[in-house]
Amino acid sequence: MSIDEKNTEATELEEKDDDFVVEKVKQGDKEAFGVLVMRYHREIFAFVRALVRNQHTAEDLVQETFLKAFAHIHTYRKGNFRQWLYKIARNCTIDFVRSWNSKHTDSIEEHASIPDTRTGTDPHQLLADSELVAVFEEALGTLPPALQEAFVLKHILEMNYTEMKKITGVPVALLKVRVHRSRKRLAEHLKHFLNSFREKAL
Amino acid sequence: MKLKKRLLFYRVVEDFLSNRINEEDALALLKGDTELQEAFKQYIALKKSYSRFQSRARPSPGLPEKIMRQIQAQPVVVERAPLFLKVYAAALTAVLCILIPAAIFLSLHHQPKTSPDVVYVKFVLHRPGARSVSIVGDFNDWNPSATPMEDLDGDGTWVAVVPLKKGRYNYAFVVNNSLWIPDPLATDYVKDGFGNVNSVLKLSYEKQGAF
Repeated sequence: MSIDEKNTEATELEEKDDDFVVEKVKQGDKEAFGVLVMRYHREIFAFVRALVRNQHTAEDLVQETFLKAFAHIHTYRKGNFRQWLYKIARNCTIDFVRSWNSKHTDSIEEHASIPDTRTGTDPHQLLADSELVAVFEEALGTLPPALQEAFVLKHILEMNYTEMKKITGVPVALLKVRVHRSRKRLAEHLKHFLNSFREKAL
Repeated sequence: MKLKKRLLFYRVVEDFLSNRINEEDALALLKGDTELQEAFKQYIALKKSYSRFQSRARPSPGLPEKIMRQIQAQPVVVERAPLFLKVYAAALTAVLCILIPAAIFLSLHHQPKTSPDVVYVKFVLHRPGARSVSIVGDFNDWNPSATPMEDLDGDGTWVAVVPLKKGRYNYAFVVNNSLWIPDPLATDYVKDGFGNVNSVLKLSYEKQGAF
């Protein structure tokens, strides 16, 4: 097969749905798996990144997720590949957080690097994007994992409750409660932070 | 906050955070209530912070290639359903070919197969409600964890098949890891000197019914 033919085939595959591509992978086509990696690595990364709050760890976990998916591709049954992938990512992340917590007495928030550039900032200047992100991550880190997960799926990944239920196995009513609580607590945390930021700046 | 007010407030928050309404619409809905508008500002800050997070949480550009390099290093697991089935079918047939005659043969309790070296002896104990049953004897150094018996269909009949050479064996059953009892179906019994009775199995390769 010439390179051109290969490229055409790859492009064609990019337009196919997940189950079609998975079938190719099952038949031994490793390249086809690349289509799935391209398709989902960003959102899986966003999911994991929000939960572990560290770029490198998140990338490692995304890698682990895809390697596991590849190794167990034969156990995937037609349906929803994306959800299946999320479940794997979720398990990898849970395992990581557990082992991290057992090895480190300090909580996982320490893992996130929060730049403290607050002192001496012009009071009228808004928080820089990176700082705002750091504040958000800090706030997220103060929540229990179940609330973190609910918030991330709902608002970072903008999923609906049915999807969330399929991925987490948690009933919709409980997910709604968790999302509500997480928002409230995050908003509170942000308020405190912004107030103290203003005081400091003044 | 009164219930009605609270419900309105959280509906506005929900719609705003789920991108159904924008900031202006939300504030307009809460118009006339400075308390609510003030409380709502937290949520504006929250949305701003996580939207920034959303747009900034990006994997390194090289991540997909990195993943694919590792995938390339993985062994190819090719699923060929028909072949797989064939292999399973062949394996299953082979196992059944051995097991069915063996089972028929051995189902006549304790009667050893007349083979030159090792025979497979099936031990059976009917003990409904037991949590575990194992067999101990001269052949496994009386170790209760060496030869567990199984009750796969849960009918209370515990079974173990033990390969044994010609000879005479004392043995007993251990129920729930604590109670040692003789085999009610044994052909002979012997006192063990500690107040218990062991069962005796004599294996010879002569005619069946030799013992």
